[in-house]
Amino acid sequence: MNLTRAKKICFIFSLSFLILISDSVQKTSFAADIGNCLLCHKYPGLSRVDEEGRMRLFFINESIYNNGVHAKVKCEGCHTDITEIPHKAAKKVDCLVECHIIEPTTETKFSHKDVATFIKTSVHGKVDKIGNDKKFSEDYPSCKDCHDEPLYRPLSFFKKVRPGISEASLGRCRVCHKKDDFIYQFYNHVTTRLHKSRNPLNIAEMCGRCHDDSSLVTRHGLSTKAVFSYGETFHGKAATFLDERVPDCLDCHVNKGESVHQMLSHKDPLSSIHETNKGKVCATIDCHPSASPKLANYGVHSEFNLTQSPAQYFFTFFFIVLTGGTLLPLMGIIFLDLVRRFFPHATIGRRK
Amino acid sequence: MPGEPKRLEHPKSVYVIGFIFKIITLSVLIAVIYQITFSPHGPAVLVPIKEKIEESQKSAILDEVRQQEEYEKHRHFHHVVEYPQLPENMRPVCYICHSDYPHSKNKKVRAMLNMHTQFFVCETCHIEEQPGMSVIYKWYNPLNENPKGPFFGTSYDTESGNLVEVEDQFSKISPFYRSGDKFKSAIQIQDSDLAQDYVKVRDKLTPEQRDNVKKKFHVHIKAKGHECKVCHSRNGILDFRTLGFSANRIIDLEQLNIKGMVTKYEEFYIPNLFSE
Repeated sequence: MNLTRAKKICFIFSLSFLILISDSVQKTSFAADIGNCLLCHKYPGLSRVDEEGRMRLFFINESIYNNGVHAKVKCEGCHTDITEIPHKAAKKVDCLVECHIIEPTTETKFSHKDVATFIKTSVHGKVDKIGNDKKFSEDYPSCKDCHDEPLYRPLSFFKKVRPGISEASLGRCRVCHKKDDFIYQFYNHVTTRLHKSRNPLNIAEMCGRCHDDSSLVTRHGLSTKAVFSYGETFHGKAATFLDERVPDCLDCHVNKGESVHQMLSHKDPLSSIHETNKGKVCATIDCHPSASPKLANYGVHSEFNLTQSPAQYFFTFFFIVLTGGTLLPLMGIIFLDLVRRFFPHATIGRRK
Repeated sequence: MPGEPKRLEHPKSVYVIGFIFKIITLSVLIAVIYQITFSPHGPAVLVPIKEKIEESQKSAILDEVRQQEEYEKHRHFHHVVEYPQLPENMRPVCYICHSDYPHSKNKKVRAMLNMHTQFFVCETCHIEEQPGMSVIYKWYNPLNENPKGPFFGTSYDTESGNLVEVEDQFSKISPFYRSGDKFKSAIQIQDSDLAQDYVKVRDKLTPEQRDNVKKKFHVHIKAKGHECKVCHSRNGILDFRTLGFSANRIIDLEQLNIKGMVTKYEEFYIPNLFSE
């Protein structure tokens, strides 16, 4: 046994002993915090204003983190530059880094590299088809512009579909699987992935951060403030009331079965919203299966704007005038009548 | 019949119905006016005027600050949790000029020092003790004269190991001057006469005058706060037991590893055992 090996064994024994002790002293559910980063980062208010006047927040809410899809990834898995404590200012996280988790179907280290490939060819890619930077390439989103830590939204299917974990189903998992940690993670992961990880309103708000920014819309020559105009439709209004059954941006703008990162321009013949394909978007089995392709011809992103949607503009204007012109005189008369009844002897000026 | 006096004694229900109609009329009127003037879903005839007024009052600084705050919330991958804030007038005078994140000079510990603002008021660390004046540290809550706790940060949740969530969101450890059996708070809040007067006139003061007034707020306040060990040690100035901290929390605070990291280590050393 050489010295290096002896050191290794010694270190592993010491580490196991320390873990055993710390576990008996204080039970914690934070599996990924091997580096004990939460020793400092668990405190609210762990923040500062940097030299350029930008606020930087460093607080990590452990219970929220544990409920997210990255709960099993140790902090250093993403913050790879942190190798010492106390550490220096952490570098920006590279979401494409290979982390320690093994992707089970290929048994390779997990990474989001495929997403970058999808994004590159999508409408949100920073470079064009021949590899040149697009105009205003700094406006195009990076991972964190759309994503924060995705949280689990498990579903129970045991007797009926409802949000949450089905204890009964967990019991069935335990028939074969022994580790509760694995069972919970797997259950949460799979059932969260069986539906949207965010509700339509949340997705619309996320897209709206760019697509409702007037200056960005003008800069890129977009025809509409997309989320604002979505909010004008029945779908948008239902989304405002947190209805999860209505379509959000991704349901129409991404081909069914493809990654949401493969969103294409409406000019691209492969795009779900290309003139020749958009009829199929409304007529999917989950939405309006018997709808004619013509249903998709309505102005999904119409605004009250004479140039963009003249028909909608005049119709809306007509209805404002109709509502005001009908109801106000009618109610005005009722109002005057009531005033007379309340104040039968009131006069304006002197009665002759 | 003509000539007969009109009926004036109407049943009460008429007045109720009349009142409801008035409300509806008023609501329709307001809605139609709004739809025509300002609503983004209508012709928005007054919006250009509104924009012109807003343009004249626009502050580039304010816009940037708000944008930065919004940006940081979205830039922060891990979810941001808002914690409740005291009303402006209830906050200590320090907040007139300083924020919740006042430390910025010492890069090594600035965020860590800022974290402490969640647990105690500025004076707890920055107070200059006076000879002959006895300072006692107690929990202080501007909304409750005699806070009973449990207080945030005093104990761990045995299940999760996190700090226990508590109802009292505002109590912080604060210095009090002892005078016989009575305790007098050593901090000033923004409701105090001096603070209110300063806020009223600060824009009219010259920079020199402003500095002079600020000195009044800093009487018995030292620029550099206590060293970590003044509180984080067995015989520190904070009696964690009397302050209601649990036994294991006291051990952690008194023998704080973070304090050790800050004071002892230049860098945390992980033996390079796994590289051949």
